Amino acid sequence: MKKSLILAACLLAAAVLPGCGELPAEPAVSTVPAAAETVPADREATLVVYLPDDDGMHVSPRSLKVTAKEKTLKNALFQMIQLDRKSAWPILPTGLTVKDVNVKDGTAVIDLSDELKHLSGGTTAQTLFLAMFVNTATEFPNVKQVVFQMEGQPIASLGGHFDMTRPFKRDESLIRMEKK
Amino acid sequence: MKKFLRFLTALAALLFLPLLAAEAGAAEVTALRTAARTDGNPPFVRIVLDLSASVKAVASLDKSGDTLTVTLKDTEAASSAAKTYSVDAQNVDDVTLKNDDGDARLTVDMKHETAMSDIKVFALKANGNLPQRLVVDIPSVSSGSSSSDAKSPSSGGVKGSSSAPASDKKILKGKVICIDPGHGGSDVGAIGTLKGKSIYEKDITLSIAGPLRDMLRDAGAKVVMTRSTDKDVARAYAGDAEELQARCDVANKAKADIFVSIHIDSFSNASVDGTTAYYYPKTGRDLLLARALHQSMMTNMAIPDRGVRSNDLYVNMHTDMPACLMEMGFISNTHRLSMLTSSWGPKRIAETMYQGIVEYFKQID
Repeated sequence: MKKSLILAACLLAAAVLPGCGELPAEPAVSTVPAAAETVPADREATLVVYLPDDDGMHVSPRSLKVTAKEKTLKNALFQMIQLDRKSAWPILPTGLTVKDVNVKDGTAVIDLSDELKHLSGGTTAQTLFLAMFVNTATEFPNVKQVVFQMEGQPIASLGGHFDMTRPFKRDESLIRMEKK
Repeated sequence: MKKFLRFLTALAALLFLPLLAAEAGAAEVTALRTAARTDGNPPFVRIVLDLSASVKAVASLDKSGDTLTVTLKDTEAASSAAKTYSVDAQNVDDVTLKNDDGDARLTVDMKHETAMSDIKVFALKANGNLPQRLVVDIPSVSSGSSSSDAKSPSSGGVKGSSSAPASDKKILKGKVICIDPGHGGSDVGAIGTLKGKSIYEKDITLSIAGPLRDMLRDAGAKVVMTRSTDKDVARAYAGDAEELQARCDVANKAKADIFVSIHIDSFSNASVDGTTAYYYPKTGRDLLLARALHQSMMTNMAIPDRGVRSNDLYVNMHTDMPACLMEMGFISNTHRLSMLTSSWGPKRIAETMYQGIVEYFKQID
């Protein structure tokens, strides 16, 4: 039953993705043909994204079944934003998109659209924002830390609270432990 | 002998209460509220039961002196009110209201032995929109330990503004404390809505900072405010980092002993509420300060606990001294917002922060 649910979710994701006309196209899906040589592009893979809990204290992992060629950092962040917006208590601003992702020497530079300015006030929402992006990005073995940009420019502070000039490392304390 | 005395005091309550509310009948307890109050000496937890009619009530203590039972004769507790309330403030752990053979029974689990003579049980008449009420006040300390109570700086004295306890003056004299009311001017901070009106975080933080400043000054501390009015500290519409650095500069230039930033949190889920103490471990005493402020909130206020957390908040990182940013409840929670905008709420929070600051200096001196 669970498997069929996951499959249904997977199908749903597949069905939803190409339909999002107003969002930038996902280059990740079409621009990695090289991967097909070592790992078949349509082989099943798992993406882990982190989403806020209802009480705003932690984020929890969510596994998504994708094909190997869809297992990119940019797609993971894209899926994460979609799932947050569809949740009961979304924390990310409407229209927020990932403009670009660049990984070099273990540092992922995530460039976000200027809707980031509309991130809600309060340390809780901002903490969750960081926990979602940094923990999702560091699920990829080649990403050790994350730097944020907005519209290609460095960000000094987020919403009047966080110092954004330094790279952020994975913070396991913000991830809810598995329930027994 | 002691047991006999307790029996006597319990009996006294039995005789006394029916005088207050003589009319028996099918009364109902429609609601129960608790509040940790710091405006008494000693501070106390107040339990209020809303009643549909007058009741006869009998109060008694168990042998160990830490469980109070109040029986409301011929009374029914509404199903919405009959449950266990986790208070965990001051001397009170839990309060339970249940129906028991035609009576409603209130049980108060206290953290330590308390004398019946220190517990107040009284009735309040209906007044305006308020129904008849039965009130139970549980003191934070019993008079049996009143000598230590008198010595404790956290046991009151901040009610008025006239004079702080001498022990506080000794601790705070000459200390330089920088208070940072979060946001201000062009930056309104988080926004809440109450009765169709927008409420800004910047106004609430200032309403807490004012009384806190007065209490600290009264106790001999030198208080430096990053702002005392509704204004930007750097300049209007400055970038976040420039504005936050200007606040750090105020504290750093004054060579403050501690920096305390006051904020109100916000979240998409309006049912979420609570307080969080944020610090950045840079001086070796940042955690100590955060813990002292957090502990005071837990002891003196009925507010959910969201913990003491370390992260990269700008003002905590870029001040030279131990710093703590306190999120004092959620502006997105209507219940909390009512408290934060009430005549007493900001002052209560200020008193609680004051006590946390005294406690911090007590620990490091």
